[in-house]
Amino acid sequence: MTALLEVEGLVRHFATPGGLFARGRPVRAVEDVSFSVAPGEVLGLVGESGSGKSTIGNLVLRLDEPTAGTIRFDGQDITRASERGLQKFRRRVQPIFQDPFGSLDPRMTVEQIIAEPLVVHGLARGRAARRARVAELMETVGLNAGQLTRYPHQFSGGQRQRIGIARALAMSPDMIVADEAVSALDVSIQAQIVNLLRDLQRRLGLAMIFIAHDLAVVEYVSDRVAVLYLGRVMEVAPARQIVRTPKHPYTQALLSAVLEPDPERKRVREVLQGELPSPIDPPSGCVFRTRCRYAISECATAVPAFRTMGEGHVSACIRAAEL
Amino acid sequence: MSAKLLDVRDLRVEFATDTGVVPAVAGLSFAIDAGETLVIVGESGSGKSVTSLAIMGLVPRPPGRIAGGEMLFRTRDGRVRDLAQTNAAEMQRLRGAEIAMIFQEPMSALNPVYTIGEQITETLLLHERLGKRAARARSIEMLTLLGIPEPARRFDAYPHQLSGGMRQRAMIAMALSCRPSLLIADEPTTALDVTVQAQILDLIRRLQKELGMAVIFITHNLGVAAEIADRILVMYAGQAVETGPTQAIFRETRMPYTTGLLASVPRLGMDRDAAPLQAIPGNVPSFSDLPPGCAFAPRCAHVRPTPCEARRPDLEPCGPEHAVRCARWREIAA
Repeated sequence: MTALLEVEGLVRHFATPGGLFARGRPVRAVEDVSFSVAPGEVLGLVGESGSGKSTIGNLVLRLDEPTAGTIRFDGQDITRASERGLQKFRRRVQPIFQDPFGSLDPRMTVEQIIAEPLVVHGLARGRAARRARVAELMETVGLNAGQLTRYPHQFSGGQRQRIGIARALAMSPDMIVADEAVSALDVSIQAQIVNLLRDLQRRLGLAMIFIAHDLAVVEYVSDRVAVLYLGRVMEVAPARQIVRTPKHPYTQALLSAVLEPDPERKRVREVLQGELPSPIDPPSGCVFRTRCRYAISECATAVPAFRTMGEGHVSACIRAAEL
Repeated sequence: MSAKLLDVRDLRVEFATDTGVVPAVAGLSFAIDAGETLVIVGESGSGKSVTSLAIMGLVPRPPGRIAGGEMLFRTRDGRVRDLAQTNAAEMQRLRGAEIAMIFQEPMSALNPVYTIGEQITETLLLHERLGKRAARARSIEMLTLLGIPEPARRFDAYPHQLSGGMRQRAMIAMALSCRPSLLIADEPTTALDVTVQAQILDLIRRLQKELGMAVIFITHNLGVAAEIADRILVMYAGQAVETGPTQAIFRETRMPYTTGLLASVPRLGMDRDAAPLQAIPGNVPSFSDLPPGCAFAPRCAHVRPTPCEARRPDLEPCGPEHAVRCARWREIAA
């Protein structure tokens, strides 16, 4: 199976202004990250703040320039492509953000918002055709097409996210990058949008990078999951497997912190101690070792290589076999 | 005299808007004992945060006002005061000293131009008439209690120099410095990472035991509720729709809305191919267009024209200390 998206050795450093302590050393937001996404596959990226998950999303969307590494989409290297060279790519990969209206003109109607990508890419053939396409997209995401002349503020949070999804689907993309797409929604609405995303993804055979901090949601939506910490991949495995048999101490800590809506499942919680180290000055060797209960002196010497723990399951921990 | 620490009876809070007066809290009653944890669960617009502002005497006025009801609070000297009738000066004395509040966003409670230490000592100087040196010692003691490393150094740090989790701890230190008997925590872990959330919840639980305070914890997260609640109150459209001991809420759920919330949360290791998540259809209601009958009726799978749409059901007992606002709960449970 050929990958639709291949990311290799991705690095993103952000410059910081020189200060008393930092002396202009870069923030290492993403450090040597590699993964691939097959056509129709959902890869979940999970991690806490500072893990680099959103930066990776922006890099894959080419909204940001990587410091090093390559991004190939459908066999083509798009890492350094110009905006012109990216035109075709932009049609095929679409974003869904947490708040689709955060950056949009509140004076645009829903029709204009959903049709905007069509207009930008010169695919809006006539007003009637465009309106028909918008109406069709609205029905697809469960909105009433009779409301296409309304404005964003006339819709609830869940409906707005449906509009964001309709806009992403306007170009009939091959891949979606969804960054915290359901995180801000009310509990009773989140399930609607999760079901919608999963239904559309399967029906349309979309590949998807699903970025979120909620492990239960990520597991539910994704086929495979990559766990990130301080800009590096800690573990990758099929979704069910990473939850049932995690093979990295950070994944285990993350799972242990998940609060289940069930008072009888209060587990003996392993509360992760300490603070996230500075991404300006990350620990040597394994970046998680400073908070890891299994850390030994060897963990400080080299960045651990991935160890194969099963079919499609790798862990960047030198003690993975003992866990 | 009430034995309760706080006894809220038929609280009504209204807001004047362009489209008319909106009843954000529409007849809410609950009580909390000393040392107890009550979790108020609700989605946006349920009235849960307005309830906490009402207790703190912080409903912005105008456009808001307390339109009715009592909030009977037993003060440290053993007297009972109605917070709905307490004047601003007296409320100011109670806030911080006996009732404290922590928020989702610590930067909304911390002043960026003062050090953490200055802000904690300010509370102590104001309420406890401690000398400067004693206030400093007590502040550093609070920072230590909150598990802040190098407390003497953090005392002189500004809020922006701390991480999100540390700021949250600093805000809690500030709130608890005068040992209040009631802490109101409004989504204090919502913006935090899960591992930091686990740390802060452990901390709140530990401090509650050590200081013997009651906690009203407001959240939309049922996982958080399951973790820390003694009792749970589920709010919908400004009213309590189910209330009871934590076990009863999760094990003998009676309100279709609560059932729906529980079913809509994905759980670790669940079989996604068995069936889609059971989402609650429709949207979270807005106060301006509530139906005359049960507020949840438009989204409820068990709705019947009568009795559901005829009139708003009462909150009625359905088990030991367990009450539900559903006219059909008996039929549904059967």
